[in-house]
Amino acid sequence: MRNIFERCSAKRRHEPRATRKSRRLTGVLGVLIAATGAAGGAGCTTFGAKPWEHDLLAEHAMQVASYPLETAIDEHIYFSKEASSGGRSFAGGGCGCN
Amino acid sequence: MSRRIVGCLLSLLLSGNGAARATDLDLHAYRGKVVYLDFWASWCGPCRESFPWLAGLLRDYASRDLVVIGVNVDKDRALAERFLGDTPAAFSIVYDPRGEIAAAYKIAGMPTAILIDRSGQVRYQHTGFSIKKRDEYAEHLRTLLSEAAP
Repeated sequence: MRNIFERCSAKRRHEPRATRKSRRLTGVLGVLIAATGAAGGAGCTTFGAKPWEHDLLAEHAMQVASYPLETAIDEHIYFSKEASSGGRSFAGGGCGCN
Repeated sequence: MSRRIVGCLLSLLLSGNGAARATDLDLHAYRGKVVYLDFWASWCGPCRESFPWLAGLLRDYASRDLVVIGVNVDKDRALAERFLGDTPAAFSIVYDPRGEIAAAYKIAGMPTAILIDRSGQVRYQHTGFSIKKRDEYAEHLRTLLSEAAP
């Protein structure tokens, strides 16, 4: 057990300067990415419409599928003629209710 | 999650100078009663479903000190009034067009029901309304109604 640790530390001591530098850089980058992620995560709560502000999003014209039947027919054609399906939803919504 | 007492929230609201008509929502008047605060909007389908159920609740429990207050978050009051024309509310409505009351209660979806016990403590929060869950909602309400006034 002891030998392994000795070998590891020895290896580390003798590694080229460039490797050590890049290791430090990776560390700094890691911290930066983590910090950005944390800030972004916290920031998300302030972006976009609040649940009580979905009035416009709930309007008919704002739906991803304003005409679900038409969308379903289109999707069926893609599925049966072009063998592609999925990637979009038929579900309406926008009001964020339930 | 720490629940603030209603008094704190109220003072928070009153300190703001918005047009939320926070004075309309003076919950101090209801101390000793169980308050069901219902956040709703005209564009919210489940809200429409919840109104008749709420009317039923009031019928059953008004004699046991249940108070229902609807907080409307429509920006356009005319839309809210049209909704109320189609779906009459059996309870009083407070208008919060800028969402200040909604923000103070940090509501996570529409509709949201906030259940406040007789001592003014927020005890339950129901996000969304599903008729399938009505027994659960009513059970929470009965729990609060069965408690003695402070």
